[in-house]
Amino acid sequence: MGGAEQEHRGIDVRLKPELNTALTALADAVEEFAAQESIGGALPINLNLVLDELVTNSVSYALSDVAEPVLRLQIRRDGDVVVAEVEDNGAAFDPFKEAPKPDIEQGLDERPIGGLGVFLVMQLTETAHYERDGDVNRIILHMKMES
Amino acid sequence: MANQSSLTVASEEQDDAVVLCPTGRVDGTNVTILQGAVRERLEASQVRLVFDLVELNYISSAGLRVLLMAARDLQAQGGKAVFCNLSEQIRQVFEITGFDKILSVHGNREDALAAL
Repeated sequence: MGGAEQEHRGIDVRLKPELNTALTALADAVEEFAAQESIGGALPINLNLVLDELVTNSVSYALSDVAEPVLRLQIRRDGDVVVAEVEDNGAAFDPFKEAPKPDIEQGLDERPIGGLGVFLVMQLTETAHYERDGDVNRIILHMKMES
Repeated sequence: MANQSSLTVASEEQDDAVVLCPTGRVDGTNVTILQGAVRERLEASQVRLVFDLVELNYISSAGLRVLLMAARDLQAQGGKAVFCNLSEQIRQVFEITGFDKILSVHGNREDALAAL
């Protein structure tokens, strides 16, 4: 039945922890997933953006001091929800708790420069969840598909 | 294969201002190109800048930070940054982050130039 076919779908890739290579591979993965699932509209570009923010943080901070860095990206569809996971083996860090939250009401001079990436992730997803699993940071995102 | 780091920045002078036209995608791998284009103008004391984003189809927070810093630096030097022709993706991230309220954003280049 369709169930078995469904299990073969989705994306599961190891990304090289170098920014240029990782972001290019990520853009390709999103493109491939969107083609697999015939997803158009704003979702692919928003998915690319939120994964870009998380992968950029992993490569630039979490993995910068790790001897054997591992960075893994999974994207799959679950009904009308796109589920994406980013894993790295950097030091434990929950961006949704620990990253500074921007105050978007502040003016040009007061606006802090940081925190925008994680903020975009939270705004563009239905849910964004962090978990620590052994020596792995895992972020699980749910994004609703447009009907 | 998507060329993630494809970004060029064209510039032209118009009505006593400099119009910067970034083309492609701006993310953490290539923000220095955009930063460099702004710095070059600041160093030449050209502090009235229009960012015409008609050819920019993707921006991440790394690019947003450069635009915010540019607007601040120009203001500090008595100048101004104005923005126009935002694509749908860029308009959305401007709205989510509140950039549409703190930056001078316009529908087209004429309106942007008039706001300088």
